[in-house]
Amino acid sequence: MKHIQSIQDFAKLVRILSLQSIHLAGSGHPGGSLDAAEVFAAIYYARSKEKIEVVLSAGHLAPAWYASLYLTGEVTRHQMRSLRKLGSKLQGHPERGTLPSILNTSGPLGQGASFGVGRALGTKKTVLVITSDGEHQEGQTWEAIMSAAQFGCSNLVFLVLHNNMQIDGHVTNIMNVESLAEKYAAFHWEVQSVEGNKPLLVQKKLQKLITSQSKKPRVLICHTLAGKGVSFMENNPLWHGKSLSDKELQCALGELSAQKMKENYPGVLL
Amino acid sequence: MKSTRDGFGEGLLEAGKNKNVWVVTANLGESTRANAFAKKYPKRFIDVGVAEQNMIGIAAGLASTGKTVVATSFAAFSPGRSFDQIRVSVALNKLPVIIVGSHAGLTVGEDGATHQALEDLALMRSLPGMTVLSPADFQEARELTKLAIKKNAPCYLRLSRQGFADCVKEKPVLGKAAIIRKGKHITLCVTGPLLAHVLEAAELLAKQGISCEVINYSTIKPFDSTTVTKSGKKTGKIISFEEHQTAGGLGSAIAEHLTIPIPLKIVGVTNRFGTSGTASELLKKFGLDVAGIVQEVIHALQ
Repeated sequence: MKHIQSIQDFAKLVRILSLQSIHLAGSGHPGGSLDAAEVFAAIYYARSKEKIEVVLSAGHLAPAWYASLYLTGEVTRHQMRSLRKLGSKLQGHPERGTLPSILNTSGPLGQGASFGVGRALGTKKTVLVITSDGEHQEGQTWEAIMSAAQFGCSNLVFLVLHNNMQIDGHVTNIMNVESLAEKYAAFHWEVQSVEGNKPLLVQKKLQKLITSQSKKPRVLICHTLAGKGVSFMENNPLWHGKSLSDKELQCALGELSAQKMKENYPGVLL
Repeated sequence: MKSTRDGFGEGLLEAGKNKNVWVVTANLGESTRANAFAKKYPKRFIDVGVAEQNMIGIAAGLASTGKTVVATSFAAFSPGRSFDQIRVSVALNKLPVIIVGSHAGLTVGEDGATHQALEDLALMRSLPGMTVLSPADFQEARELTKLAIKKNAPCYLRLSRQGFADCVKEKPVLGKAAIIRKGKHITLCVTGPLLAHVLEAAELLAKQGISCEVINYSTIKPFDSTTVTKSGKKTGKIISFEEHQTAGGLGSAIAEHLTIPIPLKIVGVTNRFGTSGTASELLKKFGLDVAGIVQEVIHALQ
């Protein structure tokens, strides 16, 4: 476990480490990992792992997840540098069996939603499923949402990373999924929304949902900015699924104050 | 006559004594014979409604918490429309989910092509680590159900709607093919309830002086290459019979696994869909009735 001074620093480090590992890999999905940083920070910063289980359904957010698990001590620096490489535990999309925290293999969208419902039925712990707005275009996601309410999975929390971005463009233009909040409510879920790039707010709302006495499954819709933190990547579909050149990485790291983070957290960056 | 799905229902009920066994179905509890389990162990039974993809995902999630989960539907729907979920959430995750595809093959009959799964063995056989079972009769289905649950690993169990005569006397061994009838002129391999027809054909052929060795493949994967190779080496010719596309089923498995070259004819459904009709009409139409099987053997020996 690395000592991180604040939840904001945790998120900043997730952002920097995601970009660095994707750059070393030469491929990956930087956009989603950038805007998911605060949500991962809200889940992992100063939280006891024994009480929660994380099911990542949007598997392409693996870099942000691996970075979080690196900061909490489950992944080594050497492993962080091996993302997507032959023999690495850090597979391009997460695989069960590679790291203790990875309960489900994910990547093909929608599968984590059902897996999370099954998991919630089989454990008393709180199961957090990380999904995205685009993932709600998959029919399976709705099958899972329907069933979680039917089975009264009150230990299940979906975190929807809502950045209005998918590979082909903006979600609202490609295949609109709105209004997610109203749809979840109509499917008998307890619904909360939050500014997803404000980690303290996310943590507070998440905690409220986890401890709620409601018998319903819960969802926190986290409105985030795609590519958050790097001006040329923000709100740009181009950066959903491509790596950065050396020059682009340097530029991005500059915007993310990587030099200062390197001084504050020696030996942590890649 | 009882069917393999009846045998499954009975085996499942017995296996249900183990409190770790859960059952998930997609609105087909009665048809897949999971209902006896549901009645006796309602707290370990989940009906997800008409949602096969969610069924497999929930089964995998449950299995990841340490349970052995049986997921039942029609083969046309699961693995038919749940293949990706089986591939990723079950097989790649290496989780103990027993996927039960009932009403497989032509003999589902009148429901027609949409409901006649003729591709399921090919799909399931292609997945790394997947055990693939296709019992021939009631008692074999019952025993294989118990063995599959005990194995506690990814598994596909193919079942039929139609009742056929019981013809396997020995208890099945997982991963082993069984010689049901000894012979010397030709080797006939078969999977599923079609075994009854192949045995009847062998009896008729014996009267004409043709001696058939009949091998029942109730485990398609892992494939027992020794039994067919040894028999084929002795007889010199092999024919395989299955209620499945000739692409990717039992015949393909034999072709892939023979350890020496032996002439092989694969008989099944080739590049066609099924159609509505009674089970016996369909088997006749596709040359898988007793007369069709006899013809294939005579042709092969000419």
